[in-house]
Amino acid sequence: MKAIIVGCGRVGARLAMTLHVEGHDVTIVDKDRMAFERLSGAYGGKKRVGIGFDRKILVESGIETADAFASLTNGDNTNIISAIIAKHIFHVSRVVTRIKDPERAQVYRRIGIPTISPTIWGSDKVREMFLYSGLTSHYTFGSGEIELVAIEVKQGLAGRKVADLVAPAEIVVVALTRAGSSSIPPPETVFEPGDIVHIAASASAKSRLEAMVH
Amino acid sequence: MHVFIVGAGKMGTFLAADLRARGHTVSVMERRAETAALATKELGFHVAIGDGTELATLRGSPMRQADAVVAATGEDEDNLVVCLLAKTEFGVKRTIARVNHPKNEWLFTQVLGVDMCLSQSHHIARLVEDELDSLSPAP
Repeated sequence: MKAIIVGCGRVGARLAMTLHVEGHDVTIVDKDRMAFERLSGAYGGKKRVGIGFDRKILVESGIETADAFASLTNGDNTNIISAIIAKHIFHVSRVVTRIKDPERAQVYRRIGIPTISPTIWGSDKVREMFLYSGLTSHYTFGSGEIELVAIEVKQGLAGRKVADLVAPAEIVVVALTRAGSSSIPPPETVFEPGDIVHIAASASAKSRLEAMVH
Repeated sequence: MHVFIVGAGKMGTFLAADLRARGHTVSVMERRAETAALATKELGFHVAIGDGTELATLRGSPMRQADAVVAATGEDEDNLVVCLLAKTEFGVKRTIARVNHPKNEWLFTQVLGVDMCLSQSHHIARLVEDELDSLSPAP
């Protein structure tokens, strides 16, 4: 994959190094040459000094044939402008941007720019760790609307059925691990103490799920 | 007509005074408090302090009622975001943006919600060319 990353901060630098190590063709762009010092010696991809919406810089970075583009600078406005250009002018198939202002992040998502908002994600995560310490999130889908959680079956849940947990459009039991081997359990399966249950749940259903399993 | 101007630097302030003198309803927003205070003094009406690229701020601003929005800040990316939000969130009929760096002029299109752009550098260059043309004899 050919990827262009604009913004060599902590996230940009880490992403660039990870993709490079995985064998992808990476170009990282930052307006400040000093920012490239965040890249370790292991980074062998390209570096360019410039701004993320400079046509010349983008073309020289190979945007016309790029598969992926991420704008991760400190400026929300710079990020969104770069992302819209990449998507609508250069037609890069995968474009992602980071927007700190949660409200703007939603607007941009609506106009078709995949947007990650560390503000929303971070505050939701802390809230979750405060409130639902019993449910560990293993994976989040999309912007965190759906989460994959794992729970160990204790008294509260033992003896109840998979069907008791399921709520249409909100909670699904994805897998059950019993004595080290996992399966997709049919609805009539009865939970036993020590089972590990993997559940996909919507964020809005988590407090209900919490109440059900304890 | 109601015109909402974002950015009360020299250009925004001049434009606000000019449009007002021509009988339009003008409101202005500026992010920097000191600049806003200066502009308020010069214009003789209140210039709101606020970030015109922030949705929450714009919701409580006159952008809702504006027939036209002028993005006149000193940052091209900010001007583009003002126009983008004006179009996508507020359905403003006409968006006009100031181009600060001539290198960025290619971005000021409807893809980013800009109906019309004003590039001082290009405008001056054209005037100078015209002036030179009028000096040299026709080939």
